[in-house]
Amino acid sequence: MALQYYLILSALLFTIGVIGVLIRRNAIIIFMCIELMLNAANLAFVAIGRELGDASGQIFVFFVMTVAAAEVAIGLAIIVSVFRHRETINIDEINTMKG
Amino acid sequence: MDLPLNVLIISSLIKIVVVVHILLIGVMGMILAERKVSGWIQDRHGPNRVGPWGILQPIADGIKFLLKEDLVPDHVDKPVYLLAPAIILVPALVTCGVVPFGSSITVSGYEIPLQIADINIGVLYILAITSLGVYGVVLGAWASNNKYSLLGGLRSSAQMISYELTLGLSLIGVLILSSSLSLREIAIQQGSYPWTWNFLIHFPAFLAFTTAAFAETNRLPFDLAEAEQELVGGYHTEYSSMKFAMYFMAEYMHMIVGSAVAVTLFFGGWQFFGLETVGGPFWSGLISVGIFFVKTAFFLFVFIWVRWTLPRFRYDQLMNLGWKFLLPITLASIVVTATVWAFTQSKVLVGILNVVVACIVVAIVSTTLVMTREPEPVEDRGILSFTKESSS
Amino acid sequence: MAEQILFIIFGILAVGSAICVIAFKNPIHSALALVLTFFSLAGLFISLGAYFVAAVQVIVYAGAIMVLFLFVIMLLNLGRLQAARQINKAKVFAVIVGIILAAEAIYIGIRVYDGTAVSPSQAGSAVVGAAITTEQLDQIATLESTYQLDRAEINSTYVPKIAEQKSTVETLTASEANQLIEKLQGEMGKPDRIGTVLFTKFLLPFEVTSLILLAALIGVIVLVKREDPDTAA
Repeated sequence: MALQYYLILSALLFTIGVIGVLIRRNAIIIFMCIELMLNAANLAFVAIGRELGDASGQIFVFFVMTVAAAEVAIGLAIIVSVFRHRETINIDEINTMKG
Repeated sequence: MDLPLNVLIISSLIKIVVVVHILLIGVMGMILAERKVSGWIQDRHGPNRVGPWGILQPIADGIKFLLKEDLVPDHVDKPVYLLAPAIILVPALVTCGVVPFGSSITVSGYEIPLQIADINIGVLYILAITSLGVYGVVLGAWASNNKYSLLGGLRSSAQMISYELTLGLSLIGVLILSSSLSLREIAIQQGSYPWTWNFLIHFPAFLAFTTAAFAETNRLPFDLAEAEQELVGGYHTEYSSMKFAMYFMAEYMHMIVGSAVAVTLFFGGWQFFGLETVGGPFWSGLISVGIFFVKTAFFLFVFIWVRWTLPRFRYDQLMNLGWKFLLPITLASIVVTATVWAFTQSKVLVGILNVVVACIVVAIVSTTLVMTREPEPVEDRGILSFTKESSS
Repeated sequence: MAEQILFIIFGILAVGSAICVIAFKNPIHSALALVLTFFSLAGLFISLGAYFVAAVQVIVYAGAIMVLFLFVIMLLNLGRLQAARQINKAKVFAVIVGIILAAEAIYIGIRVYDGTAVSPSQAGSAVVGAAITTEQLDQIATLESTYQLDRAEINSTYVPKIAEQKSTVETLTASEANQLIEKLQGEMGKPDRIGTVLFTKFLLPFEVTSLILLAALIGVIVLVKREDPDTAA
């Protein structure tokens, strides 16, 4: 299986993630789309790593997952505290910096 | 060792069919055993009407479930509601794919290992599949669109996430000593004498693993997710007929698979001294399967025994046990195992120091808890607890 | 062949469920679709030989991150906040931008690697039957040092699988040496190999990630801690 098929699939998934971030207004969905984009990048890492015969690609995926886990924990905590203050997580309504 | 492809496929198919059926029959056996053992513990007869000594009771139960009206309430989220009972069965069924249930059997010259798939990430695979067990409960709870279900689902997800950590960490010590993730390899390395099995070397981790396995099955004393007195039926309040039966079966399957994994990782799998060499290459394989079943049955008995002995935990007790006792114990066990193993390579020392350090950890944690106890601890238990009215 | 089939199945599943993530109105349904995407990606990782990454993908993403998402969606009861679907200019613009981005990314993906570049594992396969070259020996030596493999172990376990009767790397022919290199590289997804690289070459980054997790842990506790339980909620 040639590398470019994996890269095309990765590009497609990444783009779907970008479109999701652009068209959805729900902060949680936007957050999920960011995870999708990270995963698309992971796929590219693993595929290229396999092609080059280098384990570094998989190690990077490992690090990406760690960072993603930390990011999700923080992000969801922010969403929860925003929801407590504003009773909404629609990002069009959360556009002021004033608490 | 490498089998030809056609032999591999045929033997694998046979093994899959046999294992799945044994699992389903095991569920029936467990339903009967649960009732009989509970009757015995409570000094009564248990089921004795259907068939001789009531042994046809599970079949009667099954027929009852099948013939009941299959109700789908109007207010549910239909796709998820229908999907959830199927999702909860999947983890239990696919976990047994990597559990070795016997040594190997020689049929017409081919040595067939008694395990569906011996993969090099076996333990990780089990952890990955276990972490999916929470979906069936959470989705069923949410899709039911019922406050009792939702409360049960929230409790259950918090509980399962907390105890999954313990479940995963308690295996690290075993992995350090065996330096393999393959379940077959781990089982073989333990040898056939009970005093060389892992449960003695990693005694605190073994206790933590068993406790976490109890919590993952959502049974008493960890059944806050379906606490009848508080939540009607918890996450399966809105389920009826076969869909309820699937939740019911999944609980027993999780018990069976959890026991099988515990036997493999901590009790030497299918091995027992003196019995490996009995019979020829064919019969010794079957005997090893029998040993494995006996060991698993012992664990299942413990499951039932605990259920009919201990009362349910309160929510704060559950979280305290998970986060303040089991997690520090397993972390200490990892540190002790790694350090001792790096310097001495002595399993005896690892075993002794594990127990000593676990006792110290428990002493420190309980002293701290007693010292810092608030005078009124029962009031605010957070969003997941039941309300004051129902508790009084 | 098997890899093609797996790629087609999991590729279609991944793209389809990813589209569902952004198309479903209900956040819970989106989350479930995302779980399916993560599973398909785990399947793709397995077909790429990255077993460890696939298992971690399921444990971390499907088992922890998505459960956390579901938990928050259920806790805040976000299902009732479904906004009415409207097609406005911004969305049309977003989709157009997305399609352009996809076209661009796919074009780059094809052009950067057009299949003519020689991957390291295929180098030196020109002469059939020739003896093992020094390049290949160097490559094997590099693999040994990266994964901390033993030459004796390679000789005893890997070499006989490639060429029976042979027991040392030096006696292999060039094409057999290529097979050996490919086999060694193909097994880099095994947990012990990943662990070796992680704790030697990437030890410092690994330790730094623990700091990231610690920071996240403290951050979350600070963020969601209620100052006064009576005034909140």
